[in-house]
Amino acid sequence: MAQMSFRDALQQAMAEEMARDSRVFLMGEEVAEYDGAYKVSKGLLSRFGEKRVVDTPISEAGFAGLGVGAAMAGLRPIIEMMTWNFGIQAFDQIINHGAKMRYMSGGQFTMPLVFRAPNGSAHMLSSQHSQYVEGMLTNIPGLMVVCPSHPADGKGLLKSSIRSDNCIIFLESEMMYGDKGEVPEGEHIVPLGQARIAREGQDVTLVSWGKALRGVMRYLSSLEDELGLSVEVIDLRTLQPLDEQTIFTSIAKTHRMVIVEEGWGFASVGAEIAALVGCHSFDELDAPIERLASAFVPMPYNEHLEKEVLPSRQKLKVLLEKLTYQSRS
Amino acid sequence: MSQPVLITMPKLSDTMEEGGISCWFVKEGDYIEEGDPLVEIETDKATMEYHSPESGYLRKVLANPGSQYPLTAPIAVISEEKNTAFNLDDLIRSLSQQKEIPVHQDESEQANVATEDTGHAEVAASAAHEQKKSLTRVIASPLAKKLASDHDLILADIQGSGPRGRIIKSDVQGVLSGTKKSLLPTTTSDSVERLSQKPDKVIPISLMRKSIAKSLTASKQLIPHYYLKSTWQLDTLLGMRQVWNQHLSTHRPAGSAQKVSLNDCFIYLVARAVRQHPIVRSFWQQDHILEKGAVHIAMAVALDDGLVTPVIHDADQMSVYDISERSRYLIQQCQAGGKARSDLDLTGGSFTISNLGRSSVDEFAAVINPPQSAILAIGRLRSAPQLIDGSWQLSQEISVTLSCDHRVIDGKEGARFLDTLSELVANPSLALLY
Amino acid sequence: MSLQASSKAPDDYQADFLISLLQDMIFYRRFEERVLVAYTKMKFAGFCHLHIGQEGLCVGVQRAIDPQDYVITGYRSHTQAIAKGIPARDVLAELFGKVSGCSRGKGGSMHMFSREKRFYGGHGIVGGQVPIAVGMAWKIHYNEENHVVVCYLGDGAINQGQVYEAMNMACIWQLPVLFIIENNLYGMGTHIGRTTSVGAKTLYKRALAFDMAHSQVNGQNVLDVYQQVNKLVKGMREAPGPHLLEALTYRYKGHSVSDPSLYRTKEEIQGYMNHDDPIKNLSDKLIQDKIASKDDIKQWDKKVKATLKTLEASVDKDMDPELSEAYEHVYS
Repeated sequence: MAQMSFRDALQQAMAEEMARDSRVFLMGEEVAEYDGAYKVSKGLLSRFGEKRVVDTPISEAGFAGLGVGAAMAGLRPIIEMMTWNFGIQAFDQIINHGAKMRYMSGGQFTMPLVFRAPNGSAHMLSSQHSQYVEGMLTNIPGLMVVCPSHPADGKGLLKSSIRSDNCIIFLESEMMYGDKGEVPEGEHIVPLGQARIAREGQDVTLVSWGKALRGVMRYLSSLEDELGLSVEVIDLRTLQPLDEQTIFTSIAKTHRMVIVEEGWGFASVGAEIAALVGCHSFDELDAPIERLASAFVPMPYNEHLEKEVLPSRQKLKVLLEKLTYQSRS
Repeated sequence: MSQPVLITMPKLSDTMEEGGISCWFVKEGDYIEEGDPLVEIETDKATMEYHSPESGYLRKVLANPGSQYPLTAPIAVISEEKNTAFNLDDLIRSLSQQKEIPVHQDESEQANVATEDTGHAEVAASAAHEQKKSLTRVIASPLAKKLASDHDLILADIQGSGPRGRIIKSDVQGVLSGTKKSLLPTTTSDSVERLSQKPDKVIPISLMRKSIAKSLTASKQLIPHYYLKSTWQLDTLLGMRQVWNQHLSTHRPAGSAQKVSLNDCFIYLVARAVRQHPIVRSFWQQDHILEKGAVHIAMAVALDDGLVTPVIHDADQMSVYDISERSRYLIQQCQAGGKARSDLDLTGGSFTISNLGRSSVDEFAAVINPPQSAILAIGRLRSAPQLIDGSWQLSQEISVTLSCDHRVIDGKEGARFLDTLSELVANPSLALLY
Repeated sequence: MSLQASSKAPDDYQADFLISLLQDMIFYRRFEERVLVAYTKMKFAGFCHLHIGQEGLCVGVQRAIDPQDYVITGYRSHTQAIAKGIPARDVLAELFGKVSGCSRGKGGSMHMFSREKRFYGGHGIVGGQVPIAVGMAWKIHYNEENHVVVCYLGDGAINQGQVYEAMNMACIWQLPVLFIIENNLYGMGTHIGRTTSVGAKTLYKRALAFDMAHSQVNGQNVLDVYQQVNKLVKGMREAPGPHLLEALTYRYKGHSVSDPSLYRTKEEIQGYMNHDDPIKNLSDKLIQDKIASKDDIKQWDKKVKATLKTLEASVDKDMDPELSEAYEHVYS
């Protein structure tokens, strides 16, 4: 298997799908001649031509709606937003149109449409460029929300998303485009709606996704050693629809759960999982569910403040100690 | 005070959350002056007289002796007038408007004292009921509940090791596997039938018991204990004590102790050893260690209904005789209970001695008395053969166990302290040296 | 009941073509009137925006485009849907929330859809349909087809930002979309003159911002509409590119059923009814040209009313969707 960056894995997924299906095209700001603001679409213009790799004006609502109309009419658009922060401009089209058209038409239309963009905080970009949209968009019936945490899943999930007849919200991260990993060549498909056990464990179930999960995986081994714990990590991969069964099965084994997300915790994906587990797996719980999310403040600019509000190793350690009754606070 | 006044459960200690009524000093209908004793209240720390905050007639008693009530719960009504009617419901409501207090809303409507003489009793009864409910609530994780239920275990019989005493999976599994004792024997369906002839008894938990449970549970869960054991020959010390007591039998001042006890001697010697080893009077304070300056020796005193640890202050400055006098007084006061006990200063100890010498216990390990870092457990005096100068002789010896908080006292330090103490016991005259 | 004309006469109109235009307009008006009555009888609820007074535009455009062309509109969608070929029965059933409705009873008044007839809704967010229309036109461009998209928007929608994002892109890529502003002068209760700087009856000037082709037509004259749209669509098929057409029209009823129209005078409404009504305009011409008599028209009207009565009685008997239908069509 080839070592490949996240960026290249996504590019490969798009290139393969565009070669496979002439209805697939990529549209967004700077995706063509500039090769993508984050170079994810590098080389696609020269390979597929300007009708299939299209630079747009800075008009998120406009080209999001264009994507909706093109999908209704039978094409399979990939709409790239430079980041989801700008994608918020297009929420009317995404929420009121993309998500609703199939339902309101009594099933006449499909919506084979992918909105993809970096999500969440990057580094020192302050509040307007550090939005997390999964909490908002998983709350919309008709949307599927997908969030890979490593390059191979990036490719496999994006290919599945492009082939899906549903309106997909695909969450990437600026900070992860350079991540390297083994990526299978060719037909590598990761089905939507299936979580992955990123690491087996016995004592605690840790549920996370995307960049938050990637962060946890970097220090989890040392944390496990420090605390004498074995943590089972679930990478959700798809946030809507949620793979509830994988979570329930793990809780039945470990009886303890901590949810780690980088977005805000209020009415969030993490909140939903906590509620689901509280309702469904009540009798399995041996400790209150713990949750780690960003502090409920807009993202500050200063580096130290940014670190302060984001999830961290130390914050997770405190929660794990609490969760496993190693501390009493 | 034209309006009747509602008297509520007062906060009589810094950590008090509820109080038990011991007795009322005034009968319903009697007049009481402000500042006179109104009621005796058992707090988590002591039993105390509560003096009336108002002058007037005690119109209603809302809290019964033997029951416990949360802070600010209404316990009595006092009014200037002897006979004017008042509406208890309104009084309680006006109070709860001032600040949130636990009131049993459901039944408060019936509590109209002026017209019906039954309502107030129900208020008190329901408050007591609420109280009992909160006392008997068992905290357990959902999983532990399910496990216990699957195995017919009664949750209340299991000691919880989680926060606030929460019973968790490992507690239940411990009982199931036999590594952890159930508070009551595990019952099989056969034995349930047999035992059901003898009804179970619910024993209310006194505030003192609760306080002991809380403090010692925290100690055992939080403090990493370790134990150092030593056995001492006491022949020399016993010989000296005999001399002292003979002396006292002819010279003692009137009304003073007849004899010094072996325990008094230990307190004397321990105090001196503690003076030499500041580490054993140092406390773990999360972000720092606090070395106590003074040597205040606490001693565990068993009572009928629990345990207290009165303190002999500056014991390292006192003679054996003074210690003896003081300890005799403290034990008397503790056993007398009530005001006598509550007037004692039970705080500030820097080291504790627990002595079961009067029992048949050879040796035991004690739980550290927080925030202290060490406790010495002393077993009974017993005869043991000793090879002395080539011949076997019966010698008097005891075994002691020192429990230490490893966060503060490393093994080496604990052993040094025990060495000093052993040396002093073997040769008490050394105590005169420093 | 399909009133699709068999004949087309761009210049010298044949009699049966003109008659069918009139019959269509009568049908749409009577349809909306019947819908209003049904609403007041509580046969259905929710929002209900009627098209009465604007039939000329609807019918004129309908005759100028092909079945393979696309139409998309805002929330005033009942008669637009019928004009694009959705059976009136299916539209009425949709209004009544029946499973036999064109959106299976899940869209309602504002959301008529037919993929087959290429009527792409029925959209409830003012201006929201405009970027979608551009997307549909993008598909035509992408597949190098010869169709056009007709995108209706109200005068109120011309102040929505995404409308301009969409128009700009249609111009950049020269997409075959005909934007038709149905200028009935009021965005809900606000006269359009109060909310635009280009003049209440010169909204086409907004095209100047994009250097987009534009024109204006009297929507109350069905023949003018037909003629102009016919020409525009023909041109668009030869040389794709967007066009902004402002159609001046007027609605007689409130913005929705609940609107008492207190923001305008009765005289103003009456003036349009008496002097610039699309049905009256064409009726007068037919009578004048001796193509039809007053009586003929009365008879057609009577027949339409009878047809609609039967239609409604039949739709009344249709089934509501099964409850399980609530859970279908969320995802593919």
